[in-house]
Amino acid sequence: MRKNWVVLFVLILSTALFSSITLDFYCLAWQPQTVDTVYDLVDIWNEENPDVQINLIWGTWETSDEFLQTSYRGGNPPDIIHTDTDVLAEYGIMGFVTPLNNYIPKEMLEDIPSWLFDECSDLKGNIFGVPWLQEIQVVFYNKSVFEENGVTIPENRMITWDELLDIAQKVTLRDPKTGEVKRWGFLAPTMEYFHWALIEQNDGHVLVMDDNGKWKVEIDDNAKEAIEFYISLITKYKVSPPDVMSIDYTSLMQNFLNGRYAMVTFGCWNRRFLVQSKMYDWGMLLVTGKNIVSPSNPQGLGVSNACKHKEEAFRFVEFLTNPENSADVAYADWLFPVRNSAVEDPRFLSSEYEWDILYSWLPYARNVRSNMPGYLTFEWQVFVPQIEQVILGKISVEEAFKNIEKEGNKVLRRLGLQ
Amino acid sequence: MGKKSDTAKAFPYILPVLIVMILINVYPFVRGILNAFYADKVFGVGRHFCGFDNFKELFQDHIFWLGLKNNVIWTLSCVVVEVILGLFIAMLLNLPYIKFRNVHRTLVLLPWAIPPVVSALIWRYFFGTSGPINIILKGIGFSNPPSWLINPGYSLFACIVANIWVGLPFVTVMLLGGLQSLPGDVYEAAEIDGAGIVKKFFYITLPMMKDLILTVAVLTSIWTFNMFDIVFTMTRGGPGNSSILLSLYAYQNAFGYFQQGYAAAIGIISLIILMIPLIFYIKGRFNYED
Repeated sequence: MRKNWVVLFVLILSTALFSSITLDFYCLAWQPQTVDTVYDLVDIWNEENPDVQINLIWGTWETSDEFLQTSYRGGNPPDIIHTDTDVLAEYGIMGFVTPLNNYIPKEMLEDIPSWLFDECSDLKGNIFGVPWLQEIQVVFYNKSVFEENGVTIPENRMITWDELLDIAQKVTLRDPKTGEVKRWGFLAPTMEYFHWALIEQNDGHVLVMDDNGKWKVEIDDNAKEAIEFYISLITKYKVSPPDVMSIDYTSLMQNFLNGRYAMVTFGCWNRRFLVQSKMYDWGMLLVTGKNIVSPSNPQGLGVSNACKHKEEAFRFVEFLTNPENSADVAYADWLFPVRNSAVEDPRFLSSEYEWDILYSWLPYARNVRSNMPGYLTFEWQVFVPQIEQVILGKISVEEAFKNIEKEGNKVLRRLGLQ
Repeated sequence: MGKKSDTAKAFPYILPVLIVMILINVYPFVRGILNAFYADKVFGVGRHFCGFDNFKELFQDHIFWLGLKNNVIWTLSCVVVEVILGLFIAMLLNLPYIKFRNVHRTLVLLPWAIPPVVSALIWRYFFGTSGPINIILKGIGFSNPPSWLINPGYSLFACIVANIWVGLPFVTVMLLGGLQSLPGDVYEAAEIDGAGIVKKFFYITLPMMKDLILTVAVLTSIWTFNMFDIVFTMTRGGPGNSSILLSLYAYQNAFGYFQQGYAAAIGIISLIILMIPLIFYIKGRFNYED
């Protein structure tokens, strides 16, 4: 009798343990409303799919690289990961995440702009992630300051480089006696990739790939012109402070709220911060060059190679990225979904918080960061430090260009890209 | 013969601890050194032996030299201020007529009980553009106080202040322990001979505390040199790499730039630099024990 009970107990236990799959989902959502939305979606999924349970692991953008790399190298990565689409491509090339070509249905492929799939693909056509959300970089401006200084802006809110400089000069406020700047006209932190937007708008190239798939740093004249323009705002025209080198987001946004900067470049999600900080007299601008480019920073979802239940994991990815759910998450995150059918949600056409203006810029959305794997290494180890040296007055811009090419090619060699 | 036999007997007992020590100390150390001789061509041929290439490139890397310079400024400033200030506070706490001595000691120890990351967050708030420090500065007449953490001229200074706050309790407690062990009769004799506070400090306290101060300074130098949390949390080495330290640069290479070999090379250079105070420490210990 006792033996029977033991057998029954073991059976129940093993059924409970082995009948359902638990998948770890590493999510980088952090804004309170988005976190709630993701929680809700995971709850719905877990209720509807008792055989495939999702365990949420919250991460932060600042530390996601170290978490994921150590997890992958340690052999215990989360099954599903959320990160930038270009990072997904890097992780795919490094063998961390799996190609999803065989899982992605045709209707999903057709519903998401192809450039977004290119962002998370390698040269062989392996797609390592499903694009999910995209952030648009914009220039926030202080309406009161603009009004005080008689600045008028076009109805479509698009301004050229010259207009940007002109406005920045008008709204920069200096102490008439000491010349000390009381209010800076414009701030575009290096961490926001505004300089890359300028390069893209000017048809410039810095990272080029040859026919053999080898990468090279070669700054063409258009790119040089764009970089020089960016630096001149700080060094020549002095309408932008050296604060552009800071990565202290809170202090920079605080300065915008305090009126120390009249314009700042940040992602469109910052609208939530402004609204929450009770600053209502703001608007958004898009800077344009030869090309109209709305700088986009797309995010996606990938499935780890080490995941033992890839099909189930992809089903969850499909669930999160379906038009309805991706629209909910994007709206809560003050971003846009990437699916064409999801963007048509009327919430994204509302004039409240200037959703409609952002929507009108969506056709020009493009990731201005290069699709070269290791781009971020090049950016932060070589490119930005050299730009910063110029800003600090330690080297000339010509020297910086030479150094970027020399040091950049060294780094590319180290990464195996040459 | 008997001694050898005892060692042989003891060996099986210490073997488990030895294995754990090898696993958690020796293996990562050896692995770290080996890593420095490998290149991680993560988007190409993968990991391969590269000899001294990582070191050659490192010596041509201006961020490495900037980090090294910052490390020297950082370590010297922190250690010098911590030792001087620590000795001063320890002497205050050691005064026989001071009231509520235990309360003061607890207060001094407080920053030590806080994790460095939390301390860094507190100081990041203090040094914020609209933080308490700038509010005070504005209150006393500075119309345009500096943006401490977003101005390359001030960022390292702000981190040094935070690190001194974190490191001061250890120095104070160690030096206080030393002061309390000094024999009282020497001071009494000096007082009878008419020595004042200054003379007692320079001719009794300082010479008798010399070895301990050296030990504390060396240990603090090693910890400060390797400190990572404060700068990582407050500035991430910026702006413009103005507050980059070697430990942070190694971290960036390992986790952000996919270059573990390069990061390991930075680690080895740091290790070699740290051997200098370590030699002083070991030499000091031997002298002390002799």
